[in-house]
Amino acid sequence: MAERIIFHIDVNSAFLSWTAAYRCNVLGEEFDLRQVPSVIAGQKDSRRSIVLAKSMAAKKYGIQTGEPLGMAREKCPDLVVAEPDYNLYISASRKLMALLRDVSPVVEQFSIDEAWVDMTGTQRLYGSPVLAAQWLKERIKRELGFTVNIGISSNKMLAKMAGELEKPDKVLTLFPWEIEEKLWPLPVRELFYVGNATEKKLHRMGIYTIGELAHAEVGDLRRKLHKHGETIWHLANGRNADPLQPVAADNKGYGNAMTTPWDVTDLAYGQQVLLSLCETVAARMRRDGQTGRCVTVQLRTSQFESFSSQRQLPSATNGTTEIYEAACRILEEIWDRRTPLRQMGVQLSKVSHDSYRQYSMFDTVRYDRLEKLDTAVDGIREKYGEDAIRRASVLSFENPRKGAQEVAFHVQF
Amino acid sequence: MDAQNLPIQVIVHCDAEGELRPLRFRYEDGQHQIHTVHIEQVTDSREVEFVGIAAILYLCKAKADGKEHLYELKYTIQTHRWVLFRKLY
Ligand SMILES: [Mg+2]
Repeated sequence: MAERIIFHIDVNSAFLSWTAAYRCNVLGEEFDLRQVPSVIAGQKDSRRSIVLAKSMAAKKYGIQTGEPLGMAREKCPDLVVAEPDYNLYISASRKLMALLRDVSPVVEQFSIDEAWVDMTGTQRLYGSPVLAAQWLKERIKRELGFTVNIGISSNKMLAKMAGELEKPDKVLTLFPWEIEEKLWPLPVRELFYVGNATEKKLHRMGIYTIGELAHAEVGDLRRKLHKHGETIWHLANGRNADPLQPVAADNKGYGNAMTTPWDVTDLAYGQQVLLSLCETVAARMRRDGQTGRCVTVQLRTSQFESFSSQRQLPSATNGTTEIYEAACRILEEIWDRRTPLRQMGVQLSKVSHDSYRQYSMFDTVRYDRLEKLDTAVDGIREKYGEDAIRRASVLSFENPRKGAQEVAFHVQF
Repeated sequence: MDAQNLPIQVIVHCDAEGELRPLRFRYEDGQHQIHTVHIEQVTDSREVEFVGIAAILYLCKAKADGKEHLYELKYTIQTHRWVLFRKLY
């Protein structure tokens, strides 16, 4: 089989770039946030609001994403601060993904500003991978007004790591035969899935570079870091352990995971993310006429530790509400509501074509009506686009930190 | 120079193909004076979609007080709003 060619596309300082591009290209302002030390933060005048994105110039001052604005201002008194515009970010993200799907039919969106594109077999259409990536990068810049990094490799993880090597506005390759030269000299922290906690443990084992990790005894790693140790060992050796959508043991499931734009630290926001994941998963199942009985929720902390749990439903379903309710219960069980979450996933397995339903006497909702609602929503979305109809709670995505109680699920008839 | 982004009222001709051609527009200046501009010629138009916001830009020639001017108008498709984006001369 021919080698696969995977692109990883990542918007450079996404929120900052999008706000800057809006001001320059849409409002026609001369001043460009990207040229000065600048950040995007929740509220301009609040010292405690969090830095959501930073310019390259701000990075030179040591300003980090996730730190309080007050701290960032101490590092750079002339820091320019802009507030986020989530509607704009959704619009920019959607257009980027549409453009990518125009280039190749196989696109996997990973977060609001990242996606993988399978470019295998497109050589005749777009030329060699590096040239194709350069063309794509320039097209995004010209048409949408912002820069991206494109990492190229033969698997998803290496493609993602390729894109991390140097920023911004770059096309970078990291094929398996290049890892010794490009990947191994880097500190272990640069490896995907190595957070602070893992880094410390590796240091204690005398492992400082990715190369040292690649050559470590996998038995030692497994003892100290369990399954995670094996995963990162494979990664360091350029093998894709495909940790993105872990498939449940009985296979054949429908799943969706997303990396949140910032860490999830409150239940309301967590539920909101779950809801949007459940919506996509359920809609895909309805489209395929499938139902499932086993709901799995996967969580990954900002330290890249992951945990998950599952729940059996009384009967197979593809209804958004039922899946969402089960997912919420799992979330409340397995999460302490404090540990910052970076990635959340929902999966439905034990899939079957069965379309009859086991009614429970205790069903609190009229499932048939919900089913009709789901079908109607799918129909509207298909006809008028994803955006035509939305849950009231998703609208408050604009300000996920407020209105915690309002996120409860509302269905109106 | 920053763009002006002045909201305007417009009379537009829309042909059977859906092509738009602005004919006349009206804006209020800083002194609250209303100006009406009769467009003589749309010399160029282009569609843009920066950060996902679809818009059409029109370069318009017009005469005012015996002098020729060139305006750039912008129509934002989603909001149906027109602005005087900038006056080039
Ligand atoms: Mg990014």
